Amino acid sequence: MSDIILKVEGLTKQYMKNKVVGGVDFRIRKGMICGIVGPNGAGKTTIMKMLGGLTLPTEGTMEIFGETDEKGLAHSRSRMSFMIETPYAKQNMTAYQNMEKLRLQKGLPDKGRIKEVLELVGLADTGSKPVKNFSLGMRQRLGIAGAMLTKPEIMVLDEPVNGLDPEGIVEIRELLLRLNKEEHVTILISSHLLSELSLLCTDYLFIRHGEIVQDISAEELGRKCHEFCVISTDNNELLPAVLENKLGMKDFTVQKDGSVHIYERIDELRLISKTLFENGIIPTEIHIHDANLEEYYMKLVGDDNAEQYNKTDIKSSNGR
Amino acid sequence: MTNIIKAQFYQLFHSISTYIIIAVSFIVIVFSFIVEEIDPKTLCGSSFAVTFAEMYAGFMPMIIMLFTAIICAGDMKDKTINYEMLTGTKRSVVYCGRLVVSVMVSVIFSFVYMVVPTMIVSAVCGWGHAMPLSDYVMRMGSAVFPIVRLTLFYAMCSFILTKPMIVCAVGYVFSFLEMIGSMMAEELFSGSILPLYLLSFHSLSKALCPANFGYGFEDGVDIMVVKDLMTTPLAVHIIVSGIVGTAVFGALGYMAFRKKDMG
Repeated sequence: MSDIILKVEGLTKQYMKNKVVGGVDFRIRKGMICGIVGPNGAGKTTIMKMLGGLTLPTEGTMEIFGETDEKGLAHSRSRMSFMIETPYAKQNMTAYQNMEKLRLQKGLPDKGRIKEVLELVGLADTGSKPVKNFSLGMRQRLGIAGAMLTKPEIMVLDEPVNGLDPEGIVEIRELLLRLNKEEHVTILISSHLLSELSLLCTDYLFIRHGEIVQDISAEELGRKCHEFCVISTDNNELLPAVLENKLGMKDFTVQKDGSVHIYERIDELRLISKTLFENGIIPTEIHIHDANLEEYYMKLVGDDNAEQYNKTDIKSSNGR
Repeated sequence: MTNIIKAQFYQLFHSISTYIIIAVSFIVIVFSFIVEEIDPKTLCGSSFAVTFAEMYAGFMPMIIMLFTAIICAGDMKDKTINYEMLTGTKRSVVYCGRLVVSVMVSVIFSFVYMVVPTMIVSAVCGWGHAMPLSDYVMRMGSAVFPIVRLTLFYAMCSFILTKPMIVCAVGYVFSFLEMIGSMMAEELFSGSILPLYLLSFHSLSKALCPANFGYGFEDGVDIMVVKDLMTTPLAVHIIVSGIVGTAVFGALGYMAFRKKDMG
């Protein structure tokens, strides 16, 4: 697949006996906005640090823009931008001076780009105010401005909206969406704000205890988190055939216990019940289930039942 | 590497700590000039150089330590180095860039603090006869090597310890112990053993400070005259120990940084 620009296989980081990241595999395609989701200490930042070369993996391989060796990876990273943990800034320097320092370090000839990115993140009017007097949100914006300075092909952002006010969050989201759509920047982003990620991401990596527990597209996740109708009957074996042949339904999944989750026409419960009766099937359970992203996340990575939930979920997907 | 160096100098010029160090150093130097109570009648460039050589030998390592700690450990602490690596700059380039800047800053400030005042005094009062100009040039030339070597030592400490305050504390303690050690060794062995030159402080002192003085007579006035002029073997020892130390500390520092997980 030529559109895969970042590939990670078996990436592991171990400190003494403590495995922080354990054999992670994932692929990032060009144009993706991929959200890394997981609780604190799940290994999100460590994965990003390994991608950036700050932390050396104990095992595993990385391929960025087709490069795998150390020299090639270093070159590939020049086509990327990172904002990991604390946004970079010299505290006694102004926003402009920090950007100028970054420009010099990156060897960029265009001084005008500094003004451009500072305007984009709303820091063009900070004048001679040193960064130490900035709010947390302003520092986050400065970090994003720094990440945008080079017009990167991939941006890796660790909690970029952390500390921003609601208005700032919306601005950054719109900015990232614009960069993705207009400049085709691929974005790998981590955040605790799931609702925020859901407005941004095209794909998700759910991570728990240093392992990816689910790699899922936003479309598929949306489907899983959407309202659906749960139907269980006295004859579950016949149920899928009736739904498909008599009601023309295609968007449903058969669960392990034989019950069915229907994702379409869930406002037509009367018609569904009537059709089942007409075909000699008596519903024993029929209700609307409203699963949101938070609920899904909690079930997947938030508690120890996660693995159980995930395994069940994968089976149901395969059974479709 | 040029970009790293340019960015580093931009950062230094825009850092308040640079100006604080310069101001404090300037005050300390001027203060030491004042307390020395030099007789204006005998003041000349060469006597000035001889009188303040010992002060410089003790003072310059501190300045070098502060600047190197800011350039290397400061940038590790505030993650400047992390962001350089994240832009695809190789670790070796990040490391060497910092060493080059640290060495340049150390040499420039050593020149400004040690040579410029002597030049000013010479311009006003003349060079005099306390020490031949050629000996002064030879001493200053040789002193560059221990200065570079000290810089690399503090850089190595910075890449291992990563926090400027700790680097300064460890550096200060080490310099103090080294000074005591070299003085004791000097007393015990009369400075005749080669390993003494392995100590940077001792090398710098040997290069800057003449040990043997006598009195000469000029224009009817007794003047202090340096009797032990810099010899070629001494200069060679200082230079060679400087080069060896630079290489060793440089390699050790890189070994510490090469596989370091950047927090």
